[in-house]
Amino acid sequence: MKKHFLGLIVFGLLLAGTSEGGAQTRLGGYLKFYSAANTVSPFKISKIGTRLQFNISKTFGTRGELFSSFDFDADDARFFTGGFKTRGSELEIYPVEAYVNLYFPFVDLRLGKQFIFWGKTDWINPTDNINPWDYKNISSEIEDYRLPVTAVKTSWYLGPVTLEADWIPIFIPDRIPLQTGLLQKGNPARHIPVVFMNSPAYPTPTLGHSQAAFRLMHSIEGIDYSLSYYSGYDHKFNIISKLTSPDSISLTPAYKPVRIIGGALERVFGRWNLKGEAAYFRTADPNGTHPEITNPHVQYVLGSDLSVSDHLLLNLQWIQNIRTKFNRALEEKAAAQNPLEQEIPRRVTSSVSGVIRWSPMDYVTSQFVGVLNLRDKDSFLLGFVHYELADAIQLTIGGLFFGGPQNSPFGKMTGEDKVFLELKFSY
Amino acid sequence: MKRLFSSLILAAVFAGLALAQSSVSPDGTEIMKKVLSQSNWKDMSGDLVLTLTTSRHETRIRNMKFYSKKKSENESMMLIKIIAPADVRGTAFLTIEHQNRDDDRYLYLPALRRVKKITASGKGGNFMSSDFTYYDIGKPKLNDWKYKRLADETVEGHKCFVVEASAATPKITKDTGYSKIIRWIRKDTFTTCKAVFFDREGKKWKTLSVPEVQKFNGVWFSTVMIMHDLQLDHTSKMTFKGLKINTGVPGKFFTVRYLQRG
Repeated sequence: MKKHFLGLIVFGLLLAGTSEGGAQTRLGGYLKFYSAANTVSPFKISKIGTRLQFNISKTFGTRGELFSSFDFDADDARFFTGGFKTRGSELEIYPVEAYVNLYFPFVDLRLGKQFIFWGKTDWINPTDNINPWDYKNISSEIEDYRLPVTAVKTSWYLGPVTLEADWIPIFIPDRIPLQTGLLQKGNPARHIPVVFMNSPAYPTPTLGHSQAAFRLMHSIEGIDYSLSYYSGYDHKFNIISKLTSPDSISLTPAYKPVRIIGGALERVFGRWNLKGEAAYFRTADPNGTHPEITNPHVQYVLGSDLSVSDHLLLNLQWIQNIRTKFNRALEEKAAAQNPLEQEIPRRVTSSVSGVIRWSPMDYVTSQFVGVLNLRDKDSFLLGFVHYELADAIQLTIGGLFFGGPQNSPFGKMTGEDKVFLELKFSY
Repeated sequence: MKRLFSSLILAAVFAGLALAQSSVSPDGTEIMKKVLSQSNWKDMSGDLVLTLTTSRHETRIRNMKFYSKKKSENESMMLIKIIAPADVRGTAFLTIEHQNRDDDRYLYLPALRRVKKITASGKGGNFMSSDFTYYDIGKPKLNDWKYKRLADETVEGHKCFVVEASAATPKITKDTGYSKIIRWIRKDTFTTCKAVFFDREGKKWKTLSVPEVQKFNGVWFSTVMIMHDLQLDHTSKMTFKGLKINTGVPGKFFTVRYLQRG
């Protein structure tokens, strides 16, 4: 496999060497040292290694562009947990993005592995449902916590209106740590000694299971807005239980279909940028009668940026999630019968999020992102400081912290608090 | 007939005197009118090197490509794409001025693969983290300032008019960050060769020096500008290269579609 990727890169270099009139080839990327450690005793080192990102792009005048980006990632922490195989066994090579752009007078076409991000609010985007999340990774690079998808993206420029139509043939789920096999911790109320977690059930990769997304964008009198539709699968699994014998239950993480209709808008008023985004999620349980499948719901985010000065930007957002079909009695009954100890879901959950971006001195930028769930008062804070040591050399120090009661969404993660350090040289 | 003839001669003499007077001694407004008419471009493109130097003498260099086009007399559009340093290569910035509402400003960050609409922190906002503001690099409106001509001076061997411009309204001071600007205008080219900027409190804030001007398609252009922030002891130098003026930059460049292109 590694040979295969190396072959691709050599091919890219050969391609770079054959530039003709009108075509322009660029090589770039970065070399990065990274490390991350838990802040909770025994302070486990979760990542320590080096990454080379190698980008090749070749433009063909105004007609098109090729772009590929590969990561060569050597993480000693992974090597340690994986055990000794070969000297290179800790090395991972994988494509970050690899696509072709074709430009026509009214249409742009992008084919290949890519990121398609939608939405106007910050960090929490109800309409942004194409690229899955990687909850195992921590880094200051977006490609570390989002996963690319292979897609055909078309953008149609029809005067003041832009239409986007995307086709994503293969479903890729969120990357979430999941323990499969025999589970030790069940629901004490059920007294079922054997609870077995199966491997996830993915949608089969057939044309009938492919995903599609559409978006219309327009701007009028300074108001930028978009309307969107996504038909595909929820990147987060639902756990479906099955009684396999009187004293054992098997659990299967299953990815269910979802249709999402949404909209987003923003408008700048001087130093304020007001923005909002909302989406209705029509899940595989449209009547809210199946307690193991996510209820249909609406999520919305309202917020604003405030540029206090050239050196300080604040962002504050209000986030609410409302289950439109919800039967409390049914959910309580299901929770009591669930083989795993489970919290009863709530019809409405409210949160606030905030971002502070501050440059206290030349070439130093800090950013703090926080989310607070109002009911449980559980929270998440990500903070990092970048220092530009010289042109294209950047040092980043940061941390990720969780807080709150043990059973709350962020409270469950308190053992995952981390600090990280990166030194990056771009070329 | 004789009387009429002598009246005509007198009128001609007075008219000639008045003309001579205005050509040798124009007032501040006339000088600025002439300066602004010099910058009568419709579109331009080229490379820009921005050198930033801090009080600790640390220097950073930003190389970019820029395109600009006038929408109307007081509205223009600008697209900037960063070429270097490598960590911000591909970052692009689009600004579309509007006379009756806030300007539209969009930032494309390749690292985030997103176009973000950003707040228009007024014309007084810093341009690309430099000591230049958007106001400094744009074309000032004549009526935003009240002009007073000061005694002529010679700067770097160039004979200059000296014009003091005071903000016509408090809003201009609020928007631009300047309460007063003194400009040294070269008599031969009617371009600014030096300027001193005063902050909202009237304190001396920044000095501009223009060591190089060039003529392109009949338009004089400052190709090297150095702005020194006296309060922070920062310096920013803008060097324009490969300038092309009035070559017909297409309007489609100034769209979100082109902002994202490599």
